[in-house]
Amino acid sequence: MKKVLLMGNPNVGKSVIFSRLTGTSVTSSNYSGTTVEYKKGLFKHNGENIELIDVPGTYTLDPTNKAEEVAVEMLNEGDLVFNVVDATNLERNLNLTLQLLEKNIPVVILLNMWDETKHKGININLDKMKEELKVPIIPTVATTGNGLKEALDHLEYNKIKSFEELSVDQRWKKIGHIINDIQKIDHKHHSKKELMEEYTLKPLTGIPIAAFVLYLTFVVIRFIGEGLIGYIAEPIFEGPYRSFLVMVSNLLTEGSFLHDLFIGQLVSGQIDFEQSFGLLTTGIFIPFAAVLPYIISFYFVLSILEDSGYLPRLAVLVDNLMHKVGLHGFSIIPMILGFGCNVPAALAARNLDSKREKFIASTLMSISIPCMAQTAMIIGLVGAFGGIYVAYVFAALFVVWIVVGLLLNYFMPGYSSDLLIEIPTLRLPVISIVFKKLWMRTKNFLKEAIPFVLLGVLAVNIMYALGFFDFLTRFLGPLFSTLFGLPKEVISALLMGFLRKDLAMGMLAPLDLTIKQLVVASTILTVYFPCVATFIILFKELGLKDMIKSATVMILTAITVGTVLNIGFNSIYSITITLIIIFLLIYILYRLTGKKHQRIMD
Amino acid sequence: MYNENEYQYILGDDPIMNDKIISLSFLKEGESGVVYDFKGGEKFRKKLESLGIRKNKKIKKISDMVLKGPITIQIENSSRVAIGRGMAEKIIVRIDN
Repeated sequence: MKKVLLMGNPNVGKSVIFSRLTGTSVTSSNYSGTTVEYKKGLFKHNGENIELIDVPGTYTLDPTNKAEEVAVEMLNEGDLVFNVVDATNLERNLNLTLQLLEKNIPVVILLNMWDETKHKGININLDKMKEELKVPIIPTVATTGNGLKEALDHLEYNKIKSFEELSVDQRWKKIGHIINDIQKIDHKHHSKKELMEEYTLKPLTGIPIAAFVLYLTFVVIRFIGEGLIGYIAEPIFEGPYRSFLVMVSNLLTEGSFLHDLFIGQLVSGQIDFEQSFGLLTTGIFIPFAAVLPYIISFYFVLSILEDSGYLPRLAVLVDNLMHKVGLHGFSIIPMILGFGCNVPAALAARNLDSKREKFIASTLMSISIPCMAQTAMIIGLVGAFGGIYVAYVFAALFVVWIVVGLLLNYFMPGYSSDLLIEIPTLRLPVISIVFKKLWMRTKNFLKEAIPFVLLGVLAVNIMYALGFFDFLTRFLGPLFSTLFGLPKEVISALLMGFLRKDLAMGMLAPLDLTIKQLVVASTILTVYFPCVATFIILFKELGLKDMIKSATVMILTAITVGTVLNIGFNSIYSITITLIIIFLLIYILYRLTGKKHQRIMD
Repeated sequence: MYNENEYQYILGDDPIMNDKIISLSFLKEGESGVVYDFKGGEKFRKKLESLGIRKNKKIKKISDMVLKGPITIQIENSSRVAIGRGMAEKIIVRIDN
């Protein structure tokens, strides 16, 4: 089978072309031995099967990072390169093109964003360009699909143009000559669009815009998520699925071991999807009816944000804050993902640069980002007393995020590298491609997360049956009870929440707690271990050693936070003192990490 | 060649060109300059070059994020790039008088 490599700089429309050329048989996998992901797709052309590989975006074949190393290795496996070139940014793009032409592989150039050259006053002499580079050049517009048919006519192209290998400086010189020959630029004034794009980057305007975008994001996610639950998931579960389960329940007879395992406890003679805790009841309901709708809605909005080119702007705005906790701008993505579901967020952390960043991002995300299910729990438990208490919990979580992040950054060796990214132009996402991405991501989520959720429910059910939680409650209960100021029943709920937050909420609700106790309990519940599915992913991604370290941080944080909230928020005096101590702590840590960074830089 | 201190902050005039030579981080928002030199090593230079930031390229500073955040520049006839403060300090630009 013929292997075609789609190569080009980042942000040149490569993945849009990939989506247009391939059908639904797209798989995404890691390049062997690396965390670099790439996509592969099949299509038929004139009866021949073609494999198209979406090589990670690269600026140069002289690798400056892992993704570029992978790109270079992939070159050896391909039969033909489709080099996607941004026509509005010819000079920089030709650097990669010339390097490709020096290699032993046929190259066809897709001169993309051809339509935009006119708006930008760029005139490219195509004939001259073909003459200079001696390869087929096809102008394309990926967003509309123009030119792609013609590109496919060149699948048989097999001439290898091995240019002689140049040094970096010689190559830039050559590019300079070529550009002089083939490109003319009429200077145009700042267009309105360019001006608007700059507003999204400047602090004074960019920060309010970002706040608005994020607000809108959450509103839309909630709207679509609730819609999917109300109109699709619930009717299915309450209708046909419930009748099926009632049948199974009768067959197994209540109280038997198998009944406990698959159906769980009946609540007043009925199956309760949220409280029965059987593998087939709650085990299926939580991932498919409660989480999946939000995942779908979340991925939909995320794909739009991604394809519009807004995310790098967000990364720039939060870069400084993220650096303080040992991350950098782009780690905002796992953090945002975490608000949907911690599972994909933990998976997204694998794309971060270093092991250190991966560890910090996963740990911080698990500790202080409540997923949709947790948020619903917090709102359900404390929201009844007034929205201000929900705000307390979130404020506490944010403080925890900052303090734990500063501490990790200070005590872990190393530091996070400086941000260096291209800011693409803002563009309207192509809706068909957004949906294709949504489908790919949802499929991956089902494949990667659901088995772990089921496995987790199974493991907890077995531990529960073995009396493991009773033992823990008796053993640790008195201590936590003193520290957190919570009655003993709550402690057993918290310990249960160790692995199953959904269960913990059900156990807390009927206990008649004061609002303060509820705030303490829900904050601890969030900070504690993430759900068992996330936990397993963390184990998979970080390895046993780092996972244990991360879990230790989580437990210590939970104990500290619970104690501080309990003891520090009693009277107006203790509140003032606690707040002053927290601010001082943040200030000192902030200065210390700054000094550490300075020391490393020197 | 100029000695290291000269790049640290602003500093005076270039004896030959009679232009201002400063670090990118001291360029004002909206101000343009020409890339003059890189203070970092070979790897650093290569990384910037692949993104289109090369000597003698005209660049304009678009934004300077508060609290020492990244600096965003527009490279002439090319893309916008956001650069962390530490890196930006090592990029030396010349402002034509």
